[in-house]
This record gives sequence, C-alpha cells and structure tokens, in this order.
Amino acid sequence: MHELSIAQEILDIIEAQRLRHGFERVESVRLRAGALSGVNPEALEFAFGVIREGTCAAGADLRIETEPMKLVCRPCGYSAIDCHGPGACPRCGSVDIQIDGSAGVEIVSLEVEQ
Amino acid sequence: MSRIKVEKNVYNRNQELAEENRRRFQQAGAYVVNMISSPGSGKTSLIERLAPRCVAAGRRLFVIEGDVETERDADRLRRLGVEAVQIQTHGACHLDAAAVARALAGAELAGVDLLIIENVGNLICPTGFDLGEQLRIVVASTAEGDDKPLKYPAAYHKADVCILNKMDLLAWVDFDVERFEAAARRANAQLQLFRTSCRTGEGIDAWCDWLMQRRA
Repeated sequence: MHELSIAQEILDIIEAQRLRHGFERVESVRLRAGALSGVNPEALEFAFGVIREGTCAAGADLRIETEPMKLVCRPCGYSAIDCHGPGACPRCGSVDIQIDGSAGVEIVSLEVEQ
Repeated sequence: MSRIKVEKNVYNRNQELAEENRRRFQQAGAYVVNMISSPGSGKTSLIERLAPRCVAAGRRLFVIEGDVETERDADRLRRLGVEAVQIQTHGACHLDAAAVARALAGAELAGVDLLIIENVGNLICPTGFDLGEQLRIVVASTAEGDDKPLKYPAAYHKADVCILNKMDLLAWVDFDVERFEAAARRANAQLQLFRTSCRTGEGIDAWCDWLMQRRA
C-alpha cells in the first residue's frame, strides 16, 4: 500500500524535473530500490501505472533494479550478496549472520522525449 | 530521446519533513519514540503500563495513536489521563512525517517530556518513513512466529529497541525466545532487547526505567 505514496513522490520528482528541463514526455524511469526499502516492485509498478495517467509520464516504463542485501558471517567473515534472506553460512555453518542493505529508493535517471 | 540524470531519493521529502519535526521536538524538549509492530502485539498496552510510571516520575507523556480507523486506542489512553491525539489514516498503512506534523499542528508541546508515536500496526510500510523520532522501537509478541525478524528484516534493522511482549503466553505457544533474539540480532547487532508481559508486569519496570533514563 505504501507503494502508492512512493509512486506519487516519483511523479512529483518527475514533474519538478520537467519544469527544470522542459521535456514533453517521459519514456522510462530508472529506479534503484534497496533490499531493505520495503518496496515491492510489482506493487509499485501497479500503483505507478494507475496514477501516471494524464501526466507527462503517462506512457512511461518503470524499470526497477533491486539492490540485494549483503550478508556477513560474524564468526568467519564470509560475505555474500543475497536476495533470499539469511540461512546458514556456507563456509562455517554459523547462523550468526549480519544483514546489511540499503533502505533507499532512488530515481537514477529518466529517458525523455523533448 | 535523451537521458536526464536525477539521482534523487524518493524518501527525501519525507526526510526533510521529519527533520523539521525533529527540530520542533528538540526545541520543545520532548523525547520522541516511534513504535512499530504487527497488529495486536501490545503497543497500546505497553503505553498503558508506562503511563502511571510517567505520572509517578513527574514526566508529561503525550501520545499520537495511528490507526486505519477509530479513536479506540486514543480513548483507551485518555481514560488513564494520558494526553492523546488519534490519527485515522482511512486506509493508509503507515504514518509519515507530514501526518505527524498535521496531527500536532495545534498541540502545545512545551513541557512534554516524552512523546510516543504508535504507528499503524504493520511491519513493512512504516519502516521506510522517518517521523522525526529519536528512538525507534519494534514490538513483537510470543503469539507470533519466532522467525519474524528473518521475514521482516528491515523493521528490525532500522530499530534501536526490540520488545518481546506477551511473555506470559510462553507455556502455551511454540515460541523459542533465544531463536527470536538471535534472529533479531542478526538483523541488527546493536538492538537493545527487552522481554515484557503487560498482563503480569514482567519486565515492565526494566523497560520503563531504561526509557526514562534515556529521556533524562
């Protein structure tokens, strides 16, 4: 549900960019979402699809890249990039694993038609 | 077609409003706590337990209750003499900094020692929205699964304190406290852990004393 507020914020940022750069239409939006951002890509695409109607981003494609979290095994230091959440360390078998990840959602760039 | 570099964080605007809230809270001298949990873990009950301790310590408590519908939680606290405002989100799944600012628009915060914001019961959406708090608490209960921190790591990753409530139910539920706490620490090694029961009072003094000392 909070994807709707995020989608609205994306539209607001796009509108501010339009006023600044004076483009007509947005073709695509590149978005980077951290693994801990709480953003569900499908839900965000759906929300964005609903509220983009009638704006300069009406036909825009939302391209969401998810930044995976990093898991670090505390006892042995083994680290891995993971999308499935923590299990046991594949090297030493410990479950004492620290989770690091970004909580941000960033608009990286826009492809626009002048 | 051309490319425009934007590099803007979508949470920026909320972050700016949260910083405004934080400045207002600091000016008023209020210590602000954001409580996050799934529905029914005992957030309001924990505040009910805290309220008389605030009175005894001469601390003024103010509570913002966030719920999708009804004034029920604010009413529960008002019956105990606690100043409370209710935010009804009417469907929205979290509070944001703007909602908190609106709820407090007419409130006199000078003299408030402790402001508790009880977020909408949800472990996902509220985690992304800074409200201007100084302390974030995630509450869980033994009636839930002990793997909650693994399933919702962001809620634990971004909290300062984790309270495990309903300790009185342990005999009747398959909940492994050690496993829960290990999972919580996995998400966040710095988490301060407490175990409480609002029904028996277990752990309530330890938790409330710790919070009061933070405030002082």
